[in-house]
Amino acid sequence: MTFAACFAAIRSAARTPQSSDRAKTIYSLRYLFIPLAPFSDFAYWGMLSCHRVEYLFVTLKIRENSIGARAQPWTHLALYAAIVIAFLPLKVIHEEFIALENVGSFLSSNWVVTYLVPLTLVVSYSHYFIDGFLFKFSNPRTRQMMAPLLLSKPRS
Amino acid sequence: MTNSNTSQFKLGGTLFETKAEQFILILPVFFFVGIGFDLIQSTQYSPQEKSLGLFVSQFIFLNHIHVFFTFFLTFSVPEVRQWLTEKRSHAPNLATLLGLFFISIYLYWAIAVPYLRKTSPDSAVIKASIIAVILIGTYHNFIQSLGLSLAYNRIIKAQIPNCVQMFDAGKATNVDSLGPSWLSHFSEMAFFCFSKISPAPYLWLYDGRSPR
Repeated sequence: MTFAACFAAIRSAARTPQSSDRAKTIYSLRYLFIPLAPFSDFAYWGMLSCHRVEYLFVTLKIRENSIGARAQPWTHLALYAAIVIAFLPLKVIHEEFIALENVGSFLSSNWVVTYLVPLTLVVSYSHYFIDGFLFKFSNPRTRQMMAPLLLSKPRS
Repeated sequence: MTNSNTSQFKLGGTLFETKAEQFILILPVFFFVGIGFDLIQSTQYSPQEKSLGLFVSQFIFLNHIHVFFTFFLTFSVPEVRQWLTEKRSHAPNLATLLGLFFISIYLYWAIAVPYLRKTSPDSAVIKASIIAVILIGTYHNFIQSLGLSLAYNRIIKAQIPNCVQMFDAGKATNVDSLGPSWLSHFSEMAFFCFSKISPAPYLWLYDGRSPR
């Protein structure tokens, strides 16, 4: 049933008036990663990878289209790189932290695990939280703010 | 502040640059080839191979750092900053909400969960929390694709002369039928959840492999 629903979603993407643009239909194929994830490791890795690469390009597009963000690019990039590097070791531990089979094994963990690893979860949850508002295109104010940032000039 | 009736919007800009779009569209092909092998050969990966796969998705394809992109956007794009801090009618601004959310999630994971782990390691609450992390992540992946997919629709529609007004509509324009997508997602989430809580009844679906 899950697969049928997924194929129906892809079919509906292909049948809409923009089906002449194949990119839209091809893009919608990534929905398949989600129902396939429990069956195939590649689907799971694909789901993660596609999501992140999309997000990278969307972020770059928003920065490029923002007038204010162009002013101090290197300061922001340096700060960003520093935070990412600082969180890298925590993220590695985080993967073990959220594994179900490790539920009992972190009982005697040190303070780093107890107090710093949850920061990675907080960052992830906050990312979901902000994105939930940032990409809520049904909200007129959000559309008003995001549209000029998200769209570049039409292709010639 | 700009609004949605800008010429860019009316004329139908592009969501991704040409090369970025090509990369985004081609990338899944490699994974689909892998899925084909997985399903046909019922491949069992060693822990090292799984670690390599996760390394590729976590670090080469940015899983680790992409969550920071949001904060990067928030701090470095003035339009987003202003939107986060502006007053909303009958509700606190989004920055305040985010702050409260941030603190409550941290307290939950740094204090409540370790306490539960000490007092009752087998508590269903801990398992449910960890499952929620996985499910919310999956949901987030799905909803981003859905959102960008709808943006694709709007952009392409706007290139059709009679459909320009779609951008001016006061509500979301759902060109895709969302029902099947949602049904697919939630049934998948339910399946994933059940397989995590009690894998045994679902083992036949995995052809002898234990669920992730």
